[in-house]
Amino acid sequence: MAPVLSVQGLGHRYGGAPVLRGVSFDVMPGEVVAVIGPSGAGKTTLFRATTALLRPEEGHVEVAGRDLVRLGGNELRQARREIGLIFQHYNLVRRLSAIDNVLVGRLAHLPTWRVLARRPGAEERARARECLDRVGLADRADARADTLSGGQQQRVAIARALAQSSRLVLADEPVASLDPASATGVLATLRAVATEHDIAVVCSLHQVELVAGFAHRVIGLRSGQMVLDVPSAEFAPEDRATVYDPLDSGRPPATNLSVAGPSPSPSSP
Amino acid sequence: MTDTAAQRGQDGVSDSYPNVEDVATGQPPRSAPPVPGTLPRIRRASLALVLVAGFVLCVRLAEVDPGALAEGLPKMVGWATRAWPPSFDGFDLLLRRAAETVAIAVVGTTIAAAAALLACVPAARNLTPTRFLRIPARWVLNACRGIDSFVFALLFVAAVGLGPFAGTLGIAFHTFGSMGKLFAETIEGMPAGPLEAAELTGASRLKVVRWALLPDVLPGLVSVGLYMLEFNIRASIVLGVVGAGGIGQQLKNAIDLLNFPRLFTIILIIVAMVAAVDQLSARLRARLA
Repeated sequence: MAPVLSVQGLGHRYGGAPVLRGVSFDVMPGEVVAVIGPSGAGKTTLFRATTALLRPEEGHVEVAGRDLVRLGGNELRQARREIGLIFQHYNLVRRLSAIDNVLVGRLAHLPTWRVLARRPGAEERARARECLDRVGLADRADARADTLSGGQQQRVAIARALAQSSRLVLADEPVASLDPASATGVLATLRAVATEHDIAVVCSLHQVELVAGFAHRVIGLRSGQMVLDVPSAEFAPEDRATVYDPLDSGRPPATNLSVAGPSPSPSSP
Repeated sequence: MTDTAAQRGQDGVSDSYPNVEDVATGQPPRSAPPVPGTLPRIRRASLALVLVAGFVLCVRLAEVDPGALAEGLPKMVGWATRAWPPSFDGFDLLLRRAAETVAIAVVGTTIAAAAALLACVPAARNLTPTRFLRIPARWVLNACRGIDSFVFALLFVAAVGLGPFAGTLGIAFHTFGSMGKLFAETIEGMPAGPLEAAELTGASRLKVVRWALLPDVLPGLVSVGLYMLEFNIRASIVLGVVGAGGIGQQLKNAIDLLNFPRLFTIILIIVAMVAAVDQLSARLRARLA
């Protein structure tokens, strides 16, 4: 089976300091991958590169066989249809109902006149309602997004990604703003939807304790490098130490920094 | 994900893609502004001195003369006593002129709103197709906003002749500038996240604006429109003074002829008209919130 997402040799730097170095991994359909790592490890840069919000200096990001790094304009827009996104702050349109927010995922597929007239058609509405039903919110379909709780809003966002019928979903800290109970619920929904529809999921997480029940596989980033790639069943306490060093604040190792102060020179005694 | 992202999240600013550059360049956080009240005493004293001196100069330039007011006040009291009882001769004409004033404001504001709706697209930072379009758009809006309806009306009276049409054009041009700017600012105040999310589904700009921006921003735009209408009812009253139609013309005639009972009636009509429109507009705007 071909991978949905294939990241190869991804590298990027900001102002000389590398934020990503040689990151490579493949994600298969239906596979749920959690990306963990301390602040500044490069998770956000990885997310931005895989959504083509950032053009990496090195490497390739292939989604369904197309290299996003090489695309631009209309081709890139086409390629983005394959990627559903879930954000930390949900990013729903506040004054739209839950179902109209789910239909945002259909905008690229709907004819322009239907969007302008705000008449998506009965079929599309039924489909959006199914997506809401799938995340357990069928009864709140007509509630305005800003009247929903954080957990409910993130479920609507999952339904929006599902409606997009994309093969890959990228989630950037989807539960960082939620209380523990809602967080577990949202991740369980995301995993169930992914498994059922064969959607590949790459999800960055701050809370390592949530990984086990959620992901099939864990990728650990530290100082921009992949230091871990294991099935979550094999994710052990020592792995946690590999990714998170209590003394390390997420800065690159000293060998990558220009060393300040006098350096030993051959002429000195 | 990064420390800055967490801080922005806590600040309630919707920003799903924290600027990694902030972190990578390792710039120190900006120093906090000085606490008010900690200004050195001498600087505070000299600042107060400059402000007082400036105000005194302004009083001079404005030729403030309490003596003249004391002299003139009895004259005004005399007018006021002569204004009673108000004269209702030709009351229907006054009502017609008042309706004309309302019409000038309504039509002028509507034309301005339609034009401003088009102009705010290039003028709003988060909608403009290119920065190079935004600067001239802002410039045109600011120019229209900078010239008062009254000044525009003077020009249009010369161009299209006396009457309410000149007033309508004057209102429309000035309001176009103000409204376009307020519309653009309302749109710029919308959270970026939902638009970004919609755009990243691969949908076109037009679809995103229609579906994900307009429903969120429309109540704000209507509120701005109602506010401008309220403002323009008052503005179109004075337009009559330069011959651009409405009840202002009757007001000026009555003053010129020293017909105080009629002036009194006109003022009553104006007060009633403005109060009614303000009430209506305030109610509608409260509903939009």
